[in-house]
Amino acid sequence: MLRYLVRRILSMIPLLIVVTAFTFVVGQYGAGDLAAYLAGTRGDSTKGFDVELYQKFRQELGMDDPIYARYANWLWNAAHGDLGRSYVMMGDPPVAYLIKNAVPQSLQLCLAALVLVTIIGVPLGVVAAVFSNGFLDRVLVSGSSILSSIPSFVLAPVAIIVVVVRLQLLPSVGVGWHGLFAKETILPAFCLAMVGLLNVVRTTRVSILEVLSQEYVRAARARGLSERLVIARHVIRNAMLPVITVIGMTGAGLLGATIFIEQIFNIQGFGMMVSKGLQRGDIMTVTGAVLVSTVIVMLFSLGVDLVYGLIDPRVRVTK
Amino acid sequence: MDTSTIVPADISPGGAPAGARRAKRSRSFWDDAWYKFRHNWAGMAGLTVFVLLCLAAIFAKQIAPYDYLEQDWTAILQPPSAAHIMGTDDLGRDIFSRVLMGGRTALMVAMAISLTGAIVGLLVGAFSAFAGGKVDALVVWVIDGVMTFPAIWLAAFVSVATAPALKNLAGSLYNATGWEFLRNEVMISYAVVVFAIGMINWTWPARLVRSQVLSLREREFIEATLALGARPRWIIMKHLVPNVLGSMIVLVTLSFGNAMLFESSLSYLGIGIRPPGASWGAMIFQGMSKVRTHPYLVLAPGITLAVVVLALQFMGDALNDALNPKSRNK
Amino acid sequence: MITPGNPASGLDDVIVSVRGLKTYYPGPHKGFWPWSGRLTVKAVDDVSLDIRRGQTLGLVGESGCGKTTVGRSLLQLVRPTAGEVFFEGQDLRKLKDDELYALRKRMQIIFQDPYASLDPRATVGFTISEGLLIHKLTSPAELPDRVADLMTTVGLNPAFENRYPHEFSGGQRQRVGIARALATNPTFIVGDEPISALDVSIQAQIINLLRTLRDQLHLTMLFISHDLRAVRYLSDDVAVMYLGKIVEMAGTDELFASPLHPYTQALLGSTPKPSWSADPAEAVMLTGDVPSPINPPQGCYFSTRCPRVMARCREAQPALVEAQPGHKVACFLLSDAVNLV
Repeated sequence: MLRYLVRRILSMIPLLIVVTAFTFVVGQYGAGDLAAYLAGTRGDSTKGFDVELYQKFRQELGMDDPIYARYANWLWNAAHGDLGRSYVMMGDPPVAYLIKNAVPQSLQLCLAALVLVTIIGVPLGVVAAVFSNGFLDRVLVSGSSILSSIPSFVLAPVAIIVVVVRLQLLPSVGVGWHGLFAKETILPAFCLAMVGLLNVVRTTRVSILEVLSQEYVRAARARGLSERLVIARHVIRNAMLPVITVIGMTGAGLLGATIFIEQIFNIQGFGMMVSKGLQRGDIMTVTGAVLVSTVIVMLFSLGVDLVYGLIDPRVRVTK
Repeated sequence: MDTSTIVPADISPGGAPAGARRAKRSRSFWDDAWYKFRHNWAGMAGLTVFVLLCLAAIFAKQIAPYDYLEQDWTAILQPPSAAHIMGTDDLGRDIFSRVLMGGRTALMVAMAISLTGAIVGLLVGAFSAFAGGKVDALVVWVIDGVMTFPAIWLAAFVSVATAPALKNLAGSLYNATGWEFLRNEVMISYAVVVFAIGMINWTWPARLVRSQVLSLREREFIEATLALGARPRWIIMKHLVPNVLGSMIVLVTLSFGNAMLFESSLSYLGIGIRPPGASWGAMIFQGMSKVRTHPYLVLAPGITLAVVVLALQFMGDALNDALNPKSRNK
Repeated sequence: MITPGNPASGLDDVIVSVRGLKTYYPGPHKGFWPWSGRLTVKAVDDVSLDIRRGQTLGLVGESGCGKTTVGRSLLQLVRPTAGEVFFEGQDLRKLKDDELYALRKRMQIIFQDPYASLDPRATVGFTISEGLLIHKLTSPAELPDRVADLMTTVGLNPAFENRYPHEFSGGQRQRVGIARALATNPTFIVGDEPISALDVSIQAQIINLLRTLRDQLHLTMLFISHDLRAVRYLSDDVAVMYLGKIVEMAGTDELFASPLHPYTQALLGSTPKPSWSADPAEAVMLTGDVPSPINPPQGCYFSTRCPRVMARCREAQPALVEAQPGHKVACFLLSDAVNLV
């Protein structure tokens, strides 16, 4: 298990390097000349374009070095916790500082959504499978299709209008993050959870159906176990592996969708940081965010694999 | 399954009298698939919505009661009425006309993305599966890498980072050719969106084609054709392509809906289709600030988008049931 | 070159000849890392055999012994690792791709699984005519008649040429597979367990069809099976394989009457109550599993399960020698006896 863990972690490094190299290089070329931007905005605008200042910024930012050297330099600093500075935001804050302040909210939000999608989606999938091809099955599957097909940026405002403004079930959505267990978190977490609902319901349904057709389930039924006991004791346990995989894969999708949810619910999280960074052309912030989000997604999939190994004895034995 | 419910049990091929030569052509695979699809209400509803959308997009200019850019200062933020069935926005533009034009944008972008994605994915997937070894490992690694990243972030990043470069390219092409459309900012933003979403979209068909080719290659009927003396090209054209086609159709349908969703998402984030180009996502974003007082600003384009995406989802599911019957209950 | 199916061309003419055939597959990784080397699976390990024109060689053995790989290697569907495969005097391993493609119309194969070996999206008519289309052997105008003829030959109603495989039963599909193999008028056919996936009631029909067709069309066959009764019914000679090697080879009657190798004796003993069985008291029971071809035992491969194993069996491999005229066997019990005589 330990060797497996080491190997998995080592195998992440090349991917991480390629992903960050891609974002760094594309970002540096695509975003235009940062030194020119700084010279234009920071210099004395009455004097026209200040070439001296421009050269000074170029030197400061190391922009005369070849691109690979700049990337290597960035990577080296990143490994030491320094992701550069955001020159677009007031006061040139370090990117690492911005990320450190943004990530916890987003992670808590995603976690809440993941828990929600699991406790809603898995039981729905089980019910749909038990009544497969019946009326309830169709209603549940189409219903979760509908909920998952509505884009977050449509579902969230509709939810705000209906739940907060009209029905006044939940408090008005304020600014910022109120904590994982605050009432204000319920709605954004719910809207985020809907992104992955269909996948979870569908995978649960399919894998339960698969297990239901297995010999040992028929054997258990033949022994006279009640249907409820058969499903509780034999089916759900054996059907959970693909479900865990899907829940793991949903994690990345949820992180992606925070870009909309956080903006609509005004949460100063990771998604908000990325969307603002993209809109302002703040390439250092975006590059740093790419690195961090890739690490998060990778660690998450590693975690899923470990859970997988703990649940399935076959995986554990063969490492 | 050889005991298909479609073929009545009393037609057992070997048992009929030998005199009945070429009596009746049997139902082909595609006839069967169409039969199954026709009897799937969700799929047919999806198809209907999709066809209506296509018609609305093609004849948008004829259907729309107003020019989608026409500003009417006497009718600002009008709720839905007989004159403006979806109301007007804060510039007095007719929302229904804008939704129609947004549909045209979404369809054009999605068509470009899903078709190029299917072609690129087909080529890359087939190449990877046939090359095998290190090439295959590399392609799989790249696909996994693209998929590791939240897709919308990647599309947004590529869109932002490549927009200036594509604009420069269009500029120099304009200098060389003098074609006016190369200076059209809206056209360039279309190209940027197609490129950015296309960067992600090809991975799905590539992965599907690769795994299908790998599993088909193991199937005995491919070996049987090889044993007949067929060259690789014959095997690809006569056996691999027809067998992959069903799954491809499903995937292209699903990716079509996905591409529409992504176009709207990018436009919503303000990095997609540039105004004055009409996009549902941009309309939703503009309406968001007034959503509490004028919800129709968001609801009109939002519900349209959701219905279309759902229609394509239902259509894809129904096609999957019809074309890949084995995956239905398993 | 002799035209196919000419019985007058002499029965002693060896049409398929295999010398020292080895087919190895890459196996699992030796070590933990993806770049650590791979083990080899010796699916076929040094096999030599001859098949004369119009004769049928039966190849028997337990599943996993490499008999299917022999058939595939013969047709170059699997590229052998070493050895020579002669078909009508040409070494197939030295042919260029184009020559091999062209030659394949003269050697065909019938597959084991009638479900997997037919393309589910192709009509049976297309499947049967495919060889003719590939080699452009029949003009488009004559094609329907040729397909109808072939379908009649194998006992299928020609009216169903436009149907799809899923509309047919297993036996009917196997008839389609046979028609496909016969379409290009081959001289040599490999039957790769053509009956083992079928219902017992259908097996006899297909076996009889194969026998009739072989006699009518003067086909040369390699009949691969683990069904000893079928092999006995269809073959002129029989070769017994164990773990990638031929352990015994003789004329059918000779082999079934007096099997020499302990493995053959065990195989024959395990067939349910055949009248030709050796004295029940003599019947040998096999215990244990077939060893892995990745890591075969030292010495004679059969030594781990052999009821008459001797000390030297675990040290050296016995060679395939002619113990009696026309009866080859690879066993120290007999090669010693030969040497002593």
